Amino acid sequence: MHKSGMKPKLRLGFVVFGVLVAIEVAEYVLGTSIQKGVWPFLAVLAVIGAWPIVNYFMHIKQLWRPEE
Amino acid sequence: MAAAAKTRGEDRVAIYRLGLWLFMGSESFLFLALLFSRFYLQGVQRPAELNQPLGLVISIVLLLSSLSAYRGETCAVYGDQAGFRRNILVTIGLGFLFLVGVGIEWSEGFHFFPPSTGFGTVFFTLTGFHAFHVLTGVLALAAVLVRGRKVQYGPGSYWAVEGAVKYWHFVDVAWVFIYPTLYLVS
Repeated sequence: MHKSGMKPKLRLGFVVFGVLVAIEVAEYVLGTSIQKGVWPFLAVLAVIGAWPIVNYFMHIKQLWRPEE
Repeated sequence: MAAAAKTRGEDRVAIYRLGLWLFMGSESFLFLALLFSRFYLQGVQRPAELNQPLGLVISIVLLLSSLSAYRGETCAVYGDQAGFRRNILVTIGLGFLFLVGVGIEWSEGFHFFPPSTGFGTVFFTLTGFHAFHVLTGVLALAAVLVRGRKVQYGPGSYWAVEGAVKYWHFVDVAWVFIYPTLYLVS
């Protein structure tokens, strides 16, 4: 495997991390500023936050496409 | 002959991978049951004394550890031993930092919402169960780091790293749901 392919993957890690931090901060702002009925929004944000980890960091697609 | 051996190796990794995902799936149900217990026992009430900024900080620390774990795995895949060691070491350090944060939360929690209260029961069970997973993740990462001194990880021979790192990400995913459930739902 050629090392030139490594850099884009490392860069992707930073992008995913940035998205995850933005989601966590959005959750924090919502949760601490709205006092009532916030849980459906938090649930949606949690699912949105989990997906990049499962897809990009855990490579779930390898289960049905091992070459990924 | 060599091609057949390579295929057998790939098949074996595919089976290991499936086994790990099944294990993580079964663990998810445990976490789900504990998450639902929060709503069953406490509804959407939360104590005002919860340390919200600390909750956010330890969440970001855990996300940062997932980034370094991902980088460590990528380095192992491409045979960059120094990069692998550096990033896995950072991940282990961040894992310990997260545990220190949970320890601070616990010391405050014992004072404001002890385990004998409804919220305390949920808080200490969920964070304790999760912290135990963080600790086992740190041990798994330390094991692959030590093994890395003897074996060279590289293309086609990085399953140990992949397994430990996948487990670490799973622990992170669990926290992505635990954090809002405990700290932010109201």
